Amino acid sequence: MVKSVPTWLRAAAVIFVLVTALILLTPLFVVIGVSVSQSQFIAFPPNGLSLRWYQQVLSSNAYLGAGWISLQVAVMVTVFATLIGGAAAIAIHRRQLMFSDLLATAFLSPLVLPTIIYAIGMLMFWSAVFGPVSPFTLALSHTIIALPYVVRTTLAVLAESDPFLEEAARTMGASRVQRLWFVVVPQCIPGLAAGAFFAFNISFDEAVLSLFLRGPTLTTLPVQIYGQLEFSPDPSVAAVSSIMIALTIMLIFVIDRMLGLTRFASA
Amino acid sequence: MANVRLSAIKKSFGKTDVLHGISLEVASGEFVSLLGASGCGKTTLLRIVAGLESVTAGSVEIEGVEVTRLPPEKRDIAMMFQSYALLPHLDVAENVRFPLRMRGIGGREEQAEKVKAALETVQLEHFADRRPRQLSGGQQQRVALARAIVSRPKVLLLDEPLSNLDARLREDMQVELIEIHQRLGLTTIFVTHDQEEALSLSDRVVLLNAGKIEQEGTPAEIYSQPATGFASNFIGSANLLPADIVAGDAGPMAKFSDGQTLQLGPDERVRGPVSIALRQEDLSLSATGDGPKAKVRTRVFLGARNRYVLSLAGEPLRALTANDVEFSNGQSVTLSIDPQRVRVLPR
Amino acid sequence: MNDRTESLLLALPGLLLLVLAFFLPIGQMLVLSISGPDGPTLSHFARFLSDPFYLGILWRTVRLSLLITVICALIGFPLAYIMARVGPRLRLWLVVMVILPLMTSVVVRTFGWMVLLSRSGLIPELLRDMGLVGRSFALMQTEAAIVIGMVQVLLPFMTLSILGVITRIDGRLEEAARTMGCSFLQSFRTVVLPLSLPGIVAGSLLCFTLSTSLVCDAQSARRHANTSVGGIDLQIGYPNAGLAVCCSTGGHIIRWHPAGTGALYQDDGLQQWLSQSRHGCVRLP
Repeated sequence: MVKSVPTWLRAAAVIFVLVTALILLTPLFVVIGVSVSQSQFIAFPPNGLSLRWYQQVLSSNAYLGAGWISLQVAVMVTVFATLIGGAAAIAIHRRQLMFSDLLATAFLSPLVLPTIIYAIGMLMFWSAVFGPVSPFTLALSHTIIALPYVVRTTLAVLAESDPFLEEAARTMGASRVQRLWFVVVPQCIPGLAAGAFFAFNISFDEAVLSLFLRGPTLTTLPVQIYGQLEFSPDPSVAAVSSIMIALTIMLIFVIDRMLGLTRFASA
Repeated sequence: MANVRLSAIKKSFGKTDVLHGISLEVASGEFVSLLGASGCGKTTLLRIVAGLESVTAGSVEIEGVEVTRLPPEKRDIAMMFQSYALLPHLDVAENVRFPLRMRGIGGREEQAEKVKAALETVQLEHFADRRPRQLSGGQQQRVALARAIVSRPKVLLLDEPLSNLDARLREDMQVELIEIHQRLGLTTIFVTHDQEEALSLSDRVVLLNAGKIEQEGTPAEIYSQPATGFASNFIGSANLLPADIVAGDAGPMAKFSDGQTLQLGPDERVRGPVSIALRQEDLSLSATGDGPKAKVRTRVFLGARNRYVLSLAGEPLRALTANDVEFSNGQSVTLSIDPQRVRVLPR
Repeated sequence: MNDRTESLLLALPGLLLLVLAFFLPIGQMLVLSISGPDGPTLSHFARFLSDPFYLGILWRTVRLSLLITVICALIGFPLAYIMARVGPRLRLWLVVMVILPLMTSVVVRTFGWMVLLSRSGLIPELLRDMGLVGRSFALMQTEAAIVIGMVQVLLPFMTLSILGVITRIDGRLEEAARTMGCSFLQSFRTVVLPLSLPGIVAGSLLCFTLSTSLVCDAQSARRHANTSVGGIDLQIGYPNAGLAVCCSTGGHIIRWHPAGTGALYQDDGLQQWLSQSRHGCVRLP
């Protein structure tokens, strides 16, 4: 749109973007680099090229077990957060409750509380009231921190939908339940889907709550990586980290297909 | 028989009174337009008939049954929205089927028949499996119309359905609406701010102003005999000039503030301070002759016609003439008008 | 059933969950932070606020958060402008570049920084080889590392907040400015910058709030962590701080942690318990 930007500025912009990319992404590239090293030790640039650490990860019961637990928790979180957050977003969007704004703030508030404080509070409260923590407890607390994403993405698509659709459906004889199911929910689907993938990503990657709420049989993948890093770091950590990065990139693109990433910014 | 009867409808939003007691009857099969400027309450009135808005006082009857407290889904109506309100996730056929499905009218096959017939009525039978997004504005509009007529509602409510179309499409659509109305005979209430649209489509026009009925009548009555200054200004955008009625040799005359006079019809009964309503298209201008003189301020070339903005007794006055009538700015011209075409309204 | 009941029913599961698994735990901690052996007391806060060690942490938290916010704004504004003006494909890639670090697990990010910054890491080695620094030089757990790590995580909040505002600026305004004789930089300064201010303000508020939370965590974690990893895993921040919120919450951000921190530091027993819990051997009373 804007033409006649001076050449030196264009060049400066390109350099600026490249440097920013370098700072943002170098740690991730480094991880991937380390993961294909032949060396026993974590080293960058890698010595030689091999996939042996990937082999090791895929045959390690510790990693596979932790991955399986992470997956179970993440799936639970995805289902909980999508259903609960989607319903809440619809309620907030309708603005019929006197405290709609307060409600919106309440659902977004887990974002601004330091997770470490939430984790301690949750551990103290939950074990005092309900006894030892379980994967279910962990899933609930992950759901709490994933809710704001689902609420936001769903609100974003609802904000763009035609406000007269529900009224139109009423004039066509649709009852309350029919309107919700045939008119409102289909409108929400892109937002719900994007929110679901966010929720999965958050739960699968989350480390702090998992660290606090872990039990002897409840070690998620990030906690496993953390432990490995702490006690016997080797390039297998890099390999499993690389797999997680790949998963994240995949999820980012799926979310983009669902909703368009830049829509969050403009919503 | 009255199909829709509104009795003393009042509506307030908080402390703002929007409708001040409106009573209106719409006969079976009649096409009634609610005409008015934005904010006059016409859309609110329509939404009250639909049940989307509750009333503060008054009652609504449809086919002799009181429905004032009935929610819209239980009233047998259909409404077409300004934004069309098509469901974006359903294709055209599913959109049209929606009211049948919601109201549980007929089995699948019967519904499919009705959808097909409705789409044929609006000439969209080849677009049945498109999504609304893939259609042009005019086509979306037709889908909305098909969806509104498919269930043969007792009342068809149209909320400015043509306002989002360009001029050409709007004309086509007006013709189509008239034809569909003639064919199906649905009782129709049509909301618009466009006086031409109201005049050309309806059996009856209800002119609303500030939450009250200003005048109602057939399009011809409304056009030729506006009852108030507002009506004559809104319909045909007539010039309104303050004047006094004085007796002249050939019957009553209007005397403007600068002393010039204009001959009126002999039967004019109104006396005292009045407003004189002069339609732009009824005025003719000439360089010489008897009659009030006005000064040319501006000429606007409209293609087929010229519009002159004149100044008479310090008031602006617009006149439409043929495009070969030419005067220069500042020139003094003589106005003439058939005395029968002058409306005298009490001030 | 009326509309309000329906809305309430829809919101109810979420409200129940929030109350049970969020507000009650936090509330309990708030109550704890003002209760002593003899009933309600502000002594924990008094102790917290009179301890130079914690005051130092508090001050450093504010200082670092300001620095992080300013850096984010300096990078985020031009980046958002570039994003707004390039084609959709490139814009997508830029958005991916900005949010990828945020969406990557904290342990993975931390690991990457460790390889780069720790004593035997890439950058210190490089600097040592060049003879610029001494043998024991490390970047891990320094303030510089905190700042870099935080900027990496918080940049998307700033960038997307500003991008949201810039994309809504009428592009013709800039063109109009150019036709009135502005150079590119002049129109950038006199048209784009003032109109983007709401985005910059919202993004900054968000960045500052989130970074005080995160820096505060980093500090407390560092105090109790006994391993090299412990410090930075929290230093680098979490993925939970949300991408979505950057657009809307700027206005109504709740500040919890002064009270939360009060509870956190209220007695040594809890500190003990905290550091034990990091090694997974905690047993609750």
